Amino acid sequence: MSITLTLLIPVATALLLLCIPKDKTAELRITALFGSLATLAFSLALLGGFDAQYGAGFQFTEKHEWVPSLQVHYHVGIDGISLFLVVLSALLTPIAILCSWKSVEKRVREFHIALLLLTSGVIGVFVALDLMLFYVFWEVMLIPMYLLVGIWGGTERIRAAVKFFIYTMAGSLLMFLAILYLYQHTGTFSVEDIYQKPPLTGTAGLLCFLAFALSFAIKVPLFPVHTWLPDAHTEAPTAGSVILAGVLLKLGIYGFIRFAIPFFPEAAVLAAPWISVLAIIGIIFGALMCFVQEDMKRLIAYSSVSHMGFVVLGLFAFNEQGVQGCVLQMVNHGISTGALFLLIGAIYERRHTRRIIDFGGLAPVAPRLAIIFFITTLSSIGLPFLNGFVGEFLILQGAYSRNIFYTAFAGLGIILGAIYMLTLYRRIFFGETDREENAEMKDLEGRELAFLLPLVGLMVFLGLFSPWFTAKVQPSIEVWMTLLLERGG
Amino acid sequence: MDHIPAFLQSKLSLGQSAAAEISPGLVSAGDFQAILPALVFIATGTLLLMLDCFTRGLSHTDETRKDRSSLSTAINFLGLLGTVVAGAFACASMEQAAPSFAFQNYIRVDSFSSAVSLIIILGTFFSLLAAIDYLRRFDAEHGEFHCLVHYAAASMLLFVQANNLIMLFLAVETLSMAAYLLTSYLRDSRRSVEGGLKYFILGSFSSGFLLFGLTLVFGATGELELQKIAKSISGGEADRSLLLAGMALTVVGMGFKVGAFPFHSWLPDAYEAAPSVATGFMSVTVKSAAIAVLLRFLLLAAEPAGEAGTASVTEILSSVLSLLAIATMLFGNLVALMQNSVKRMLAYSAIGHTGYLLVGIVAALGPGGELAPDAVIFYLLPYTLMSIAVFTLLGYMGRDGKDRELFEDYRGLSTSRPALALCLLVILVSFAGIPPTAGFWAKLYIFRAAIAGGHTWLALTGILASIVSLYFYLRLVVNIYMRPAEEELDADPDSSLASGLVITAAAVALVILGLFPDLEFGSLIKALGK
Repeated sequence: MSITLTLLIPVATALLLLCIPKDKTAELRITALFGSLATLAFSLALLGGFDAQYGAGFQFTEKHEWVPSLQVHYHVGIDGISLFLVVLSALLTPIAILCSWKSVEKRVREFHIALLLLTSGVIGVFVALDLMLFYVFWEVMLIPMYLLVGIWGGTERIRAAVKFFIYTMAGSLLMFLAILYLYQHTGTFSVEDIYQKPPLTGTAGLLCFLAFALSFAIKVPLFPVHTWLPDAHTEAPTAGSVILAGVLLKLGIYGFIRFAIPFFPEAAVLAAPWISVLAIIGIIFGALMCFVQEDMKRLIAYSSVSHMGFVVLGLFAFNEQGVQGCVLQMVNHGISTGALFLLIGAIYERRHTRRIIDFGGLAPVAPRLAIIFFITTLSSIGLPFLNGFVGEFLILQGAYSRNIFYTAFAGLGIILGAIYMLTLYRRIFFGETDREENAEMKDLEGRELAFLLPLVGLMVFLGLFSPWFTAKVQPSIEVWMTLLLERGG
Repeated sequence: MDHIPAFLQSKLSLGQSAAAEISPGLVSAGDFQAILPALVFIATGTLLLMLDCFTRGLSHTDETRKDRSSLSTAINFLGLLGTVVAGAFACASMEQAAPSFAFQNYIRVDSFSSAVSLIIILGTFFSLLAAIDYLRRFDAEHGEFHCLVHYAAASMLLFVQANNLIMLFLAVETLSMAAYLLTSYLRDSRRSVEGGLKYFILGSFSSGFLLFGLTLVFGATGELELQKIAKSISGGEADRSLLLAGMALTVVGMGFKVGAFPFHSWLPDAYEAAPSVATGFMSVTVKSAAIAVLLRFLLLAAEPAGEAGTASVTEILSSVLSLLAIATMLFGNLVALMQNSVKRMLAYSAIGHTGYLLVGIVAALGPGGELAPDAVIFYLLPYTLMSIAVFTLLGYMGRDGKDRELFEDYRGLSTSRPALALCLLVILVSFAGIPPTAGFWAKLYIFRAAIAGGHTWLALTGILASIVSLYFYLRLVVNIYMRPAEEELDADPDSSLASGLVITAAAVALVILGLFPDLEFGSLIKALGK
């Protein structure tokens, strides 16, 4: 029941918000916050109850009939791979609500409803073990995200929202066709049953894989279908950016791991070199784009393209280190990029500009901000003892055993990443405090520390105690690798 | 059997179908029982027309206003009541397992026809409900609107139940007449009259095609009754080239009625010209009836595959219909993309939806097609709800005798009317086929049937067309939710609860149907007797 509760609490809270008058903003915010904290509590219960030594298969499973004529079931469950993504989604929602406490003034009720429904949809994608259920969640979460960007976003919000929606939907509709085709051939929507059936091979398998892969690649986003991301990120409200970077981008990777690769292993192996090359292009291209950005949020968006390239590279190495690094780095990227967006949001709230050129010398003015920003920057570039390091290391190790050139180019991406992030930091925080507005800027307040410090704590924790994390993930990855071998990957 | 022309008598007395014996008397009570829903519509329609005579004498002066409005209320109430009663009878006939025949096998009632009848009655009910305040605000409150809608509904029910080519043609002509009149119902508006005339001219033309096609089918098989035609075709007794020509012309005639490309040109003008409530009514009921009849006709008259190397008539028709489906989906959705008027956008998107329905029909004709009839009928249900609700909204938001037609006119609706905007969001999401709404499952069932029948290309085209359609449905969402209002946007202060009720009920039904979309496949194909 705990998974269902994690899914239902946000929906129930959203319904509750409908009953509160729309001008009672404080009540609305507090109700939403409590709802999201309850979700977090239930997801932590999942984390606590998760048995790493459980062996093959999924835990906390529930299965009920939904559409008997199509054999569609409400079938949910988690394994080590989805566990942390569920917790991450549940964690980022209260943070998103807290960070919008003052910045979102208009249509407060609708804002929180959209945010909570988004949480449900995202968690649903991570826990769904029925292909049709997965697809329903996959699509359902699009609408709240679209509204979040389109209503509460910046000046170019409508263009960004429509672009985001059309890109994602175009991918997912083709995947929908592939799902139906797969159903026609296997006669089931159950993910576990499809794992047992002989995989589709030949052209049909390749085309279906491509349909799935396109949908997931758009979500990741993989070069060259990444162009919606900088727009959506830049225009989204802070809360939207945090969820987008923190969770939504992971959906694509998760889709590859859970569906695309094990369903069509032959095609996946065939496509792996191509996807890896695209990932590397994404790493380098994203990093180079960061050098010319004037808008901080856009810069972080392009850095996401670069970072997600690493994650894809690790996954398509198809070995234990690579996949482990991929899972770990998904969570890391969610934490550190989420934190970066929160910090930029805090700066924007104070100065109403995100142009890097408008800043300089913030360090003495806002020391708390400067310290947290610095730790987050270091985490993002993968400094040892912070979370980013282990993940990147594992990915590079995995890619090395696949092809040494992958590692060489990816390593170049890491160096570029360090340069642009540190340059960003220098331009914002060091130098002369030559502008009056900057000199008068307020430092972080209690509310902001309340949601930033836990993230900083996680960066340090995951950096120091990554074995705790990998121990929970490792068995599931082994199961996954075996599955892949069995299915001829 | 005096009423039947002599040259047909010999035909009809030959080989009775096993399901029903022709009763010795001309008509029996059972015959009327079979068409009870249609009879109820005819009776209430006529009653309303007579009631309307009393409103004629009453002018807008203060003394008579009260009488006039109470008469209008009576008309509205009676109209809705008649629909409910008809619906109840149709529900009752849904229960019967075996098909029953009436009027010398002119009528066949089975669960397929009952299911379509129910959808038509549902559409009629919602349209009449929405018409209450629409007509009042447009000062066009005459009983003949209700009367026309009732007659149209009655003829559509008979159309779906028709089991004989003559009956088929009579029913389609009656319903078309009602539809022409409804289009030009706002007789003081030039546009409405022009649209009606255009519809009438092209409609008569297509009826000619249809009649010619049906005649050729009769000529090829020598039979008028659908079951006997089917028997003659499957027995290989029919003249193939004549049959092919007849079936092709029938498809052309029906293609016009459903608005398939390239027989669609009347549709945008008629939809735009008609008063919005009438557009909503026609767009769903006429299409539902015509699609159902086309499906039944093509399925029954299916020719079994011949020897290797020669394509059967059905196979030829199926490939022609595939092309039509592809062209219709792409054309409807691509042209809808370029419209600035919401009403025209909806008209072109209605063409696109016809394309999806044609995909279902193609799937039904091929091997493995037993899933398709249920998919097609299921598609009609959410489509009815969405279409009527959205056309109701156009009228509901209208002002000063005009609909609110442009996309820009809907700016800021979400701030002034959040609940209405939410309902509209649900409806548009359902139009676009996104879960958790019924529109998603409708597309799923259609595309699944297409893939099961091996028509993956059709499904792929459908998917691509759906991607295009996202853009124009979203365009309305953008205006509702994301652009600020230039002025306070609200419905006409005169509007009553009824329109809002229609929109809300449709939105709620779409979500409920989207959460519980189970469907028992294969039941309708049995009802069709295949």
